[in-house]
Amino acid sequence: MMERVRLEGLSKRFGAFEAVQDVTLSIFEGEFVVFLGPSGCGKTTTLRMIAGLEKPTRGDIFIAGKRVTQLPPARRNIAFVFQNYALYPHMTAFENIAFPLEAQGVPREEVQRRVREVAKILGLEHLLALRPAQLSSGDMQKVALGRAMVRRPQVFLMDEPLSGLDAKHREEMRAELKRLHIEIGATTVYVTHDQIEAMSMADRIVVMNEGKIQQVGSPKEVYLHPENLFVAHFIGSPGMNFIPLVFLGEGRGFRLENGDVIRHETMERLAVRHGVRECILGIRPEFLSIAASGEIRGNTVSIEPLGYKNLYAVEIAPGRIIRVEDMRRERFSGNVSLAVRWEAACLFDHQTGQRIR
Amino acid sequence: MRSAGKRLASSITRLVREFGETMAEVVLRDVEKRFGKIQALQGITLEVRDGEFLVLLGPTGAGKTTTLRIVSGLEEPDRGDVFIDGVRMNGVAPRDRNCAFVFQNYILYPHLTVYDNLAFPLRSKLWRTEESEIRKKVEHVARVLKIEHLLHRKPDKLSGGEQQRVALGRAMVRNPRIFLMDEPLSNLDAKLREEMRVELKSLQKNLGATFFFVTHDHVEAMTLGDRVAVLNQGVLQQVGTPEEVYEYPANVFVARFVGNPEMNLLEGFLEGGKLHLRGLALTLDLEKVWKGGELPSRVLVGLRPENILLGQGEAVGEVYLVEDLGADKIVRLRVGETLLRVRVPKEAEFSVGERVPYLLAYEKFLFFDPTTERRLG
Repeated sequence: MMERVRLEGLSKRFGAFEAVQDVTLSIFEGEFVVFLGPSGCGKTTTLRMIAGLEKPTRGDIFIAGKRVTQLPPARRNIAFVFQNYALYPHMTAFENIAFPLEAQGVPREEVQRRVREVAKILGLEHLLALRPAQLSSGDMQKVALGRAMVRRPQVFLMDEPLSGLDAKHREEMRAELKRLHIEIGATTVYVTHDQIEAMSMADRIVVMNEGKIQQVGSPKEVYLHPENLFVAHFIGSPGMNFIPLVFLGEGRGFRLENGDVIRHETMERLAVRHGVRECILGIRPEFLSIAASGEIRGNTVSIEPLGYKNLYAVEIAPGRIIRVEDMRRERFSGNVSLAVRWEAACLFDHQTGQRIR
Repeated sequence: MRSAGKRLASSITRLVREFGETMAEVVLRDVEKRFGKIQALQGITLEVRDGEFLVLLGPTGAGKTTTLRIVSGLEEPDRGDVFIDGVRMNGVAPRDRNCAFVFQNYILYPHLTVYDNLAFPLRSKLWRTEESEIRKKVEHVARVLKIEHLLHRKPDKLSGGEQQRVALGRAMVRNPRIFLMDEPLSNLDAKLREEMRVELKSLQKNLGATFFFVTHDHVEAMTLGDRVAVLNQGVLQQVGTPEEVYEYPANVFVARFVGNPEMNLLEGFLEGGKLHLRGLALTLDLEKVWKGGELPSRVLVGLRPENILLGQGEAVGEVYLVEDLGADKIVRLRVGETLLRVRVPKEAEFSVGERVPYLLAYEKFLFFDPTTERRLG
């Protein structure tokens, strides 16, 4: 696979604030890479450094093998799609899309041809004569995309392009963007704080927090095998449940906060190998179920119906509430016991927050 | 002047005490509200029962906030009545309605500590509460909301969730029986919103108070509400339990607004005891899919994404897109020109371009009249 973008030890400091710390990453041709994290995690700063809108304090950026760290944005052969589409209000959709080509002095017929080609892919053909004010927000975003696509850049950079849309449009555009990527296969670096967008669109997700990369992996990897507590909590809705355990020694199991002891050979072996006493069992709500004789006792606090499943909040120790998904229509209340699907459970070191494996 | 004020204060205090001891039920009857040319609310009749968590759900501009403001007394209806515990409230000042209002933008006093922010409503001249009494109440509320350790901090030293809890606490100290909440969670990030959802729901149950809660987020509505009232363009569309609204939406608007991803809606026409779904090139025996009475010749058939099964059946579609949502996946299946949204378990593996058989769960079909958009049967 051809490397399209390479970030090497990229850091950015604003005064005393270290916005981005030592980010190293390769992005390959045709890949859809999503930078995901809460606000202030450094994801947008990283994107802006790739675009050339921000100068790194340390480190280098390569695009298609060429070092571009010192080059201005216009010479990096990238296209940036912003959150607020930044369309020219007095121009038609056609003129907006054509603008970058005309600025480059591309001949008229070629401009016509390329704009129509892009409009066709985006399903904008019938809207080309309209001005931004006459378009829906979804269509405005498509025009902004068209303007980026028409230049055939090496890399698309997108900064929360869907966040200006309402929930329903966002869902539709998410699917359309992903489908578009499957069709044209353009290398894309996409920034969002929305884990569902990241999960559903990315080939690989780069989870960031406090300026640092926490984990890089496919949606499945970060969902099923989070490297640390931050990733485990941030990915998923609701996030992974955390259940504090005290390891009592091999053959003796783990003690829960309510004093109960649970046994699981593989987990015990992990704890022994890692020499850990206090640890955290991480388990996603759909890998717990309400069972006649489960390992963990609790008391239902609330039942949230989602239509096709119920989401339970279960208190398993004073103040310790975990979430359990159940597909059954029947509702369970009061005292319940929860069965753990151990093959999907993670064990974390209480001290470091890192996953034990 | 002064004694008149005193009299007023004591009569209000008495009023509030009385309210505090009785039920807390809100009734809107035929409420209309117009702002200039815009008809904000039309014929709203709605009952929020004592001790109920009622969620008013709708898109931006539906009239949700106006409804809440009319209950609180911040707006007066043009027509119709508002009752709290059977007492007509039209014309009664907001502070005399024993409702607490929690806004989207909780405004805490930045120069006051959490303790003083919580105590503020009690220190108002109107209530004349003793400091020792105030301390008791503030500490009680702080305990319930688990913010005891924050009492001496200023708001700028709190996280978003903590600030929201303080705002809630300030609404609680006066011990109102009715809480009016206008998108109180919408400024929080996704994670915090989930956590606050559970807290809010159990808080409401513990207090036994009546919550009238406004949101545009259907997940929030489904998960919080004992009942959900769906509002669109100033008109109430449906009132029901979350399950009712999800499984038996009253009309196309509710069907599409509630649920994620959206319900599949397919155009169908009836002929000689058969239902033709042209988009899918599918013909079904009507008696298999419809047990009700007479249907119009054209219908819209609604089917939730989880009611289409992949990997079985005779009809075939092409996988157009797979979206991994973590706990489950959404497959967009192309059949001719139609894209079906299908919810599949997380373990299911499908790849784009693959041809896959699919089966529609006939017993889950919903029928809508395409003209009135109402659900039939």
